Amino acid sequence: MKENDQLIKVIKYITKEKIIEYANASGDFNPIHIDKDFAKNSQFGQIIAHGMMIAASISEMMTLNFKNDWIESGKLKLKFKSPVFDKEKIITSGEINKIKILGTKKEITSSVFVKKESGEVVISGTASVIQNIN
Amino acid sequence: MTDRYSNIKTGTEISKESLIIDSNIINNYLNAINDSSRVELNELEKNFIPPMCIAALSLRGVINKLKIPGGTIHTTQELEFTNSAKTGEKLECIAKLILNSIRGDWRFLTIGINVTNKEGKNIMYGKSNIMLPHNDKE
Repeated sequence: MKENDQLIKVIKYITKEKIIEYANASGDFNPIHIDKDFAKNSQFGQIIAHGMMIAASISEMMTLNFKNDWIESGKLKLKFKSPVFDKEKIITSGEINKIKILGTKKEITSSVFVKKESGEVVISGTASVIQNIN
Repeated sequence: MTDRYSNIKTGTEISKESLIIDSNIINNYLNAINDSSRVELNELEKNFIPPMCIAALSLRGVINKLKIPGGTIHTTQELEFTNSAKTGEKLECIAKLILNSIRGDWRFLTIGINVTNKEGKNIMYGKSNIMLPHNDKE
């Protein structure tokens, strides 16, 4: 892998059923994620997916690209910029920005994004991982 | 103006809990996020808890202890995974308040979460910024 390389993308379709499944799996029952009536009166006007549910697609992308190195040395810095609603498709992508040599290892830093089909940015941030130099 | 969070000082321990993330919990989590990456891992690596599963469940303690009101928004998240944790391994999660401020109608809380295993080895560190509606009075 080298600088400017694109990471393997992850594409997902978010549904309210999956949002409820995530609430049950994570224990985050904020009504903005699961209560239609509550969410209707919020600033978003409808149920939104948990930020951490969407962020999980970045971790998934990093696992696809870096496997166990991600599990043992991954770092993420994310900004949640827009909500994701029921029946929306998200595309998670990344590009390697910098490879820093650290003795026998290298730190690979990528810019990462989750966007909607419209191009609207949902999450932006950086992800880095440390790998052995072979 | 005071609300139920105004007296929580920086450095306060918000939650301390033990987590045992078994294969059932992991499967529920992976199904909920439709994860496709596990097939890329070898058998040994598949025994590790997905790092974001640890992050999500460690936040649960904070959500419960702080009785986060509906309408709270998660604005930023930092995570650092330093070691893998095995399925079923007992983990300790300690969450502390890093920052507590008000801007307009919102209260901003920054919470640091440290996850270690039973040997005291660091597994994950997280820093979450959340904004809560400031009208949630005592």
